[in-house]
Amino acid sequence: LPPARAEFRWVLERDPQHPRALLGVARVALEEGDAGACRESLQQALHAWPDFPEAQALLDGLAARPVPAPAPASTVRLLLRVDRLQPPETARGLALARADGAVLTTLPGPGHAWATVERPARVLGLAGATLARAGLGPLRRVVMEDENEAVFVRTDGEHLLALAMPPGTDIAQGILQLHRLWATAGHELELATAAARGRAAGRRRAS
Amino acid sequence: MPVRRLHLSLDLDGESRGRQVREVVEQLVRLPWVRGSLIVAPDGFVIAAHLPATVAVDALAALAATLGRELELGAARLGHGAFRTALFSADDGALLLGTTRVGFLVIVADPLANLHALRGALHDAMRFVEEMWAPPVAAAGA
Repeated sequence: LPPARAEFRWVLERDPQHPRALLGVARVALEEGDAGACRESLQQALHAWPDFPEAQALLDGLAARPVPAPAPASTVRLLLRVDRLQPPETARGLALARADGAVLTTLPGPGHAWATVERPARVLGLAGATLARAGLGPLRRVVMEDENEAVFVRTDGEHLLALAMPPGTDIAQGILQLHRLWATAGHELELATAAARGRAAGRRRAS
Repeated sequence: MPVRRLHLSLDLDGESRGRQVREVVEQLVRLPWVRGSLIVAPDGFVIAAHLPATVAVDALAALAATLGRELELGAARLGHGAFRTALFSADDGALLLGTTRVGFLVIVADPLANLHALRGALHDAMRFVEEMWAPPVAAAGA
């Protein structure tokens, strides 16, 4: 990234309003996780070029509801027992998290929750903005495949369930497992919430 | 003062690899359930696109390229090797994204699309682009 940024800066020194260089600086900033610098460069581009759909789309993507990074493993508060969800035997990882990043359950253990949830959480906002631009409505499911694994994700905007499977997992089977886990997790969450309310009511009565 | 309009997409003619890439996009949109397709370079530069008139090509391409890069970087960050494909499913359709040597190949599909079949088509198209743009093998003895 630094050489790319240097190239874009070189262009901008000669033409401060060069649209592709401004867009390039914004992209480099985004890849480096600097949303503020990205936004600043996009706003600069849109000031010079008000009809610049790429810059506007990226700015809209930045404004899309950000999904915070999941909590570090040390602050994970497990609400559900993962065995209650009956994850598939071939599952390499499973995590259920709230939109605020709190991890509710995880397989194999809290130390792995961050790795399982982090990647889907990072792309959800951007994916939602992309789907909106394509006129497809709110995001529901994601399947991400790389050389090492296939990650199946389900979200309703409030919760995120990520299931990591071996590479080459049949997509239909993976989605079926995801739906089953999602339904079970919803049921277990309701039970856990009701139990917590019951305990709170008992404490109030006792006091 | 009239607003300056940008047109940053590639426009190639003739029997070129650019033309072949455009043909990949045209082949994909002929498939059932496919509403549109595009190939965008990692910097957001539109190489070829065939999308419904209701979709703003440049805007979608910019977001798709950024999303593709985030997926690539995410896989690399976790030491998962190369990112290959992603499928995003929504209430009103699905978007498939695959990585190639020249950029990201995107398919926009109907909500009831056969995702397994479309994923196969995406893989075929990715393979075709890879073969087209692979560096030539050095001649024996050269």
